[in-house]
Amino acid sequence: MMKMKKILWMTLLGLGAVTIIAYHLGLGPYRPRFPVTSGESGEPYPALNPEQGNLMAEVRAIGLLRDRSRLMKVLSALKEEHPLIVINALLALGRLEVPETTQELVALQAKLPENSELQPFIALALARIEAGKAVPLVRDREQLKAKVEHFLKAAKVSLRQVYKGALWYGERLRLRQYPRWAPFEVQVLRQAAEIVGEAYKNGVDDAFEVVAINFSLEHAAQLKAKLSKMNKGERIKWLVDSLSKKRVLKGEDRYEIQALVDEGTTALEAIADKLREMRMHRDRYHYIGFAALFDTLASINAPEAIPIVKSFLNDNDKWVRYYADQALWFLERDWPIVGGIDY
Amino acid sequence: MKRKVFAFSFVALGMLATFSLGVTFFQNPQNFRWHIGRLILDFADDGSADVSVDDFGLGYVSFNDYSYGSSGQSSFFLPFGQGKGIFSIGAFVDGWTASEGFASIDAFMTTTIRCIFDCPKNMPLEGIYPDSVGFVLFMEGRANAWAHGPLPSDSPGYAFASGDFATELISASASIYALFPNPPYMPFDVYDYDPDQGDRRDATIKAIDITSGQGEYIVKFSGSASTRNFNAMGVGSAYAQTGIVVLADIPQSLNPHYYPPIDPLGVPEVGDNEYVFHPILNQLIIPVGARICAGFNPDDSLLQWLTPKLSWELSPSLPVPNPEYPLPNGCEGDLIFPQTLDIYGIKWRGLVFWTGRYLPATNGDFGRRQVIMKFNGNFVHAANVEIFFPATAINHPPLGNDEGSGNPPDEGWQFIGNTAAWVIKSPNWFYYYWMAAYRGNFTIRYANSDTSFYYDGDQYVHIGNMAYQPYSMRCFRIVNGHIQHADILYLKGIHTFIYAVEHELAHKRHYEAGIYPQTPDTDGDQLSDDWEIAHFLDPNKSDTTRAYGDDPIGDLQCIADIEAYGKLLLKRDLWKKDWADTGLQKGPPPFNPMPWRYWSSGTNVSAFNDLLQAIP
Repeated sequence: MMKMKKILWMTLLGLGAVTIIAYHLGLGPYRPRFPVTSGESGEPYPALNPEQGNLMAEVRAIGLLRDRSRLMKVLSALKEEHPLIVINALLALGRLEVPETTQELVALQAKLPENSELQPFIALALARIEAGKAVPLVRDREQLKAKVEHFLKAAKVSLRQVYKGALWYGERLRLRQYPRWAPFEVQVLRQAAEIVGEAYKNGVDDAFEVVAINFSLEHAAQLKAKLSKMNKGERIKWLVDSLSKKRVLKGEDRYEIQALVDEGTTALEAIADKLREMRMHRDRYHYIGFAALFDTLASINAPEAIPIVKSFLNDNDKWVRYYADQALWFLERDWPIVGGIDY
Repeated sequence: MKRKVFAFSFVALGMLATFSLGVTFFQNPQNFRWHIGRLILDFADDGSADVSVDDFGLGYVSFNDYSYGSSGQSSFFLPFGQGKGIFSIGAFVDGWTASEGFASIDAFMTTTIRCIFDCPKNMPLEGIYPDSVGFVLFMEGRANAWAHGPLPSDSPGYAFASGDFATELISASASIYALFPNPPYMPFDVYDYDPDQGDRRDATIKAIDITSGQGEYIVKFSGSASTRNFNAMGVGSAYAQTGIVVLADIPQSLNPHYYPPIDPLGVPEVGDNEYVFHPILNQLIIPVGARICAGFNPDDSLLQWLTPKLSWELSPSLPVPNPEYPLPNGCEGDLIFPQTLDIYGIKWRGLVFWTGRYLPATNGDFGRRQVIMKFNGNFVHAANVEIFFPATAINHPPLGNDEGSGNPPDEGWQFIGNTAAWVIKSPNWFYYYWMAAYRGNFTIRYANSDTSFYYDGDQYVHIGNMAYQPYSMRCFRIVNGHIQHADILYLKGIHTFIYAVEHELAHKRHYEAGIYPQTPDTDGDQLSDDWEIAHFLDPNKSDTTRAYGDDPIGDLQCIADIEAYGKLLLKRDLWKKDWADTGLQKGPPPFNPMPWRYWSSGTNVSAFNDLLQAIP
């Protein structure tokens, strides 16, 4: 009897130990580091007005240009009430990699409830800052490896967890069950793609091979990796072509639109040329291609785009007319839209 | 001899001042304008007098701060605006050195009490202006007469003196006629305090109509004083003063969010007189009392006379702590106030209410009330107040004897992932908003989550933590046969709650009606292509209107928002029941006109009259 009890206890303890070890090795089913927003059809965020749209566009541009001279603008956006503006500012802070902003972020982290939707984005920004502090500029393979390692460590996720998250998210998208945000692990994958892409631009030619991360597991991360291997002209051309050929615009296509918007006004001419070409060869293009480019022009929000969009107001296709009119509505109100915030 | 005469004259003048004037002349004129919240109170005096002085001796008459001593007859006016509400006259003659003298004054004075309503600049259309100011008008006064015998001499003397006044509340008179027979070897005084007709005090309740923004009440004084004497001195005097007692705040070092000063003419619609129950103690404290407004410092006698006659109450009332230990009113300076013991035995200046272990059970227990001041049990004035609940606290009562069930409105759920893990108490805003807008609908549940949500197939909708905060919802219309994002409606408080509930209920209806998820669904927004085409949406674009930043289910959100807008319009007037301290009724109106604002027009009416209220 005593022996039986002993065996039972040993088994239980053994199972417990195995479970703990498995947990720490990241084995077993996917466990997101942060809770994924509940509900497939939660209420949308409050609508943004033109001023808020402009602020978001400006803050995103500061982050993408690594313009540390305008850090205060980003920090002030961090105090806005609208969660989308705050998330946008957090991503910009991560890209700026200014160690002095850590304190601000830690304070915000402590102030918000643990289950707040903002928490993953704060953790993401802190991880990028930590990685930037360890390796400010990547010039060779070793520095790249070190930076990516620092980033994953600071994000407190393993590559295995990142992949699991990406696969889980891909499955959700396939089932058309969209969480409000991609899980933290997917956001980490996208940021890692950005770090590697920067190294590639800085002359680490085999950057993607060195880190050996599978970015193809997630649409936005794959897009980032793909675009970072191109120069500006190539990127614009590829994106314009890709968007013009669209026959459907799903949620994930916003990342391509955002990538083209991020190229700024230099993309305007290429888009306008493409639209003229599309008009000449209507049978080759679906109206959704027009819609995608109109959306891009509206998001870049440059007044120079108004004439070309206006020229489609009398188009034969009712949807082309509709989307031209919709783009004009935003353009005439100086109202940019940052659709792919977490791109 | 001359020095002695001068000394006697000086003493006599001093006594005249003491008996007849008895006031400080050096009041700061600014003391006679009071700002009590939105009530601006001015006192202004206007008066005139006919005087006659037969100056064989040293003769004077005085009227308030002014004196007249020239021989002959004259009239003079008080400068307007003296504003103390004090009527003081006196007549004095020293007949010792000039054998005979005569002085008299016949005076009339009015004190105008003007009440001005300091109107808020952005009064909302729904605001109610106060139409009157009630107060306690009090008056006090006395009349004196005094005669003083001659210097030691062989000559006999006489003195006659009188003083009187009359007002609407009180009057008094005093007179004396004294003969000083020959030879009086020692001088002697004869006084008439007139104990029967001397000190007088009374009060009454008055109200001033201020519907035009201001109004006034005029207090009239009339009186006379005279003296005639031979080989003697005489003084006649009369003194009366008036003041008012108004409902006012009692300054305290308390958190102004919970205990703001009360304003007798406060307009709760613009944020005045708003009181919030304590989030933990369930106490409500209104620091109300009364202020004596007068051109003089109220003495102890007046304070002791007024204090027990005043009382304050809240109407409709709320339960009070320690009703078995009522405390007498207190007073300090020019303030009189009720005193109340709270549940911890701490004495507060003002009214204290306590609803027990929890806040009141229904939303209707909050809202508009009146703080009433009474004098001798009769109504004097009522200040409008509003009572609020602390939105994010959890001190609402349980409901339904089903603790732990997770049923609304008193409980909700903590979710872990998609699973409702355990029951938690809901915040006050959910409890009272549910009671006001969805009482009896148990499909609407609170969830401790950033967002509100609905799980496909769930019997409930879950309302998250942001559903009481400002929100801007999208509005749509049909343009050229397609749904277009046309406007933004800015919401707050209970309207955000209604929006969140109706948005989620719309998802629930759409799911249960089989509108989603359906295939073929080219754009992945869960709506079938055919359905989208039939309802003016694009089957190839997941966010046709682009109102949702290219959300993967933008079109699904769009149709839920369209229906939520239609439902919200039906519940538009529920803002009148929003008594959260973060809600639509608290503070200055967030929108003017209430209750919300459209982006297109900047008003509460959209620039578009065809915004969709149902799925087209």
